[in-house]
Amino acid sequence: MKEMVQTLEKPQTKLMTGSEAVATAAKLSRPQVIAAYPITPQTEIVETLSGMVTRGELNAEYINVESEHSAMGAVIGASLAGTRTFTATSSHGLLYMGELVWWAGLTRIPVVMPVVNRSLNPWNIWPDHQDAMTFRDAGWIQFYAKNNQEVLDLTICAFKIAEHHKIWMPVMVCLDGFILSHTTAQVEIPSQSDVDNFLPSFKPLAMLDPDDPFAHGSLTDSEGIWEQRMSLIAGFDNARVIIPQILTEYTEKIGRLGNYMVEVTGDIDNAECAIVALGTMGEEAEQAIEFLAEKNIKAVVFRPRVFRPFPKKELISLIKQVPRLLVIDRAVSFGNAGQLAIEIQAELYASKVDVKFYQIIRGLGGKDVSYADIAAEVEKVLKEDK
Amino acid sequence: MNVKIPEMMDRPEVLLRGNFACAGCGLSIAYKTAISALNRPIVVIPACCSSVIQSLHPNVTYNVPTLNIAFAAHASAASGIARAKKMRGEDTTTVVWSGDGGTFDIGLATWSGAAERNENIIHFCYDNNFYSNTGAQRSGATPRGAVTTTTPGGKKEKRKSIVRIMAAHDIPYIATASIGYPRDLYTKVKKASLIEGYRFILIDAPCPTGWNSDPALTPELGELAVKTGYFPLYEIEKGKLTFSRRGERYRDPEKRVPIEEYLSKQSRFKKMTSTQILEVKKDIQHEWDQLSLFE
Repeated sequence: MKEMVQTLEKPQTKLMTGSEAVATAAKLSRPQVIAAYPITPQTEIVETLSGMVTRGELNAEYINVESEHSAMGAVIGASLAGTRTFTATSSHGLLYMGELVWWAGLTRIPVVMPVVNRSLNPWNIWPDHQDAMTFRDAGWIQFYAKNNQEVLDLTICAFKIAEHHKIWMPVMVCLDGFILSHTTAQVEIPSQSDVDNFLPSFKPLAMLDPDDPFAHGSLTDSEGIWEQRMSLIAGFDNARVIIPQILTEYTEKIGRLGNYMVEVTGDIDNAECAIVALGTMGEEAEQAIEFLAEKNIKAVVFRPRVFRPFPKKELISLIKQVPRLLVIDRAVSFGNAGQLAIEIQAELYASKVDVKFYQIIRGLGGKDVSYADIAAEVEKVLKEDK
Repeated sequence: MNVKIPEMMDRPEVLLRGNFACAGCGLSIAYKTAISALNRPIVVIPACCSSVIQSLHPNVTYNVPTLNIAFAAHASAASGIARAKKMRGEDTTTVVWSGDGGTFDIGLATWSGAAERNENIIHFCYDNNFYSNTGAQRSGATPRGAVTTTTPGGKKEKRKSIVRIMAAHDIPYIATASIGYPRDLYTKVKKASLIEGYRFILIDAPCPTGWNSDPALTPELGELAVKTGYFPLYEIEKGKLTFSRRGERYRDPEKRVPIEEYLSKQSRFKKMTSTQILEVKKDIQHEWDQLSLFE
């Protein structure tokens, strides 16, 4: 077990992997019940947290479950019994958990779950977004982080967002396997007191309590289901408004993060082309625009850090300002296109935005995508659309 | 330990009127008897008849906090509840209330994990020998010869010995009980509630709807299952098995009521041949022989 941050009385800067950033963020957020099952590349998260609990650095119940399905089952039970809950998974683990991922989404369980993105290919452990994209419709808020710092900051925010009484739904924080999970980078760590000041203790909306019995998840007729689904849709509308508020509060109390749903890098006013990509590919695109600038090509990056709720308004208001758009997906909806591209196209039509639209799929199964590759794609777009 | 009848008369009403149970429902008797014996229970129910009989949201006929959960998530959700209540310092009893499909088949890995971790849970399996709420399909608990909607010619295999699988986990308390002997069941639940760790109670719960039996005969079928030796009553504590006073005499095959008397009262067995009936008799003896090894 690696030496972890022992005391967090003061803010400090450390070199850490994405997995350690997740574990540190989780620890600072004081989850009361953690249930998890190991899977590459998520394992370091659960090893680190179990070490923290064993050494008494984190006062939580740690349940070493026998499967991902049981990990989600346990956190659903623990959440409804009135505790803050945490789990983490990846790839096939997420699929095996799938039945209960939907259960948690549709019954509004405010659990926080980092997903260390990994291909679903039968035996390939490298990153792509196919795993999390498979659950984009499951009633979960989804963040995609670009670096280890954002992993830490968003994981802490995720608890506050999940547990906001007008949201009250589960949150996935996605981080690219290996590129973030196993790569060491500099991370600023807030102090425990700053996090406590930002994130109050868990306040259940409803709790399994012998003094006030009720049945959760019971047989419901169509009218009742309709009411629940409409309430979930409204919850996502609330989340659209409340997420930036919570990110603002975090930035004010702790620092760095910024309150944007879509990060903009580059000179939007003069850009010939905008690149849209999630996670680390978004950060790679930031490098690409510097590389292009050397060739006197002006480009800008729009990186949605939130995918659910989909930041339609923010994206559209940005896209309106550029002549060309290149969307790069790290996943495919087979038989159609990349999910990010599909959703942006739908919104372009709805908002009647006229932009030259280009989409490509890159980086599946961990295939490397460098800034030079992305720059070459932008050049190709500009050549095609003279 | 033997609970007096007046104590049983005094127990709280845990299953309210207006529930959706069929006439002669065995599991309702099991639920009322078992859950009413517990201190501040929180009940986890996977997919099974019990998820249906509680009535339609927002009505609920269970007078205890209830978490309905996916089929194979009973013992995992219960693990989460038990740990959370421990964290919160609340005095509650976490219960899994599962049918045989959830326990014998789809949820086996889940409870095995929870039992291995020795989670502080009482796991009840009300055993009606098949998937009842989906309309009587075969499960691992279906006995040889029984007609179900997925074994229209009668099941060819013997039923799984779930208790022996459970016993291999060396959990602190295991018992079998029957709705034919509610006082014995109630006593065993009381006893289990005083023990910490993973506890398992298998309850024979006849289902007249699926067994094609007279609803008025439900308690009698429970008794007959014991008297024919088909459903032995016992407890396993710290690995040691003790046959219950109510059923011990049926260890002797000579003292058993002929199995035909049990089978003939249920149309699900009407296709059985005399050869199959002989096999069932062997199955019964085999189970007793195996259980004796735990004594």
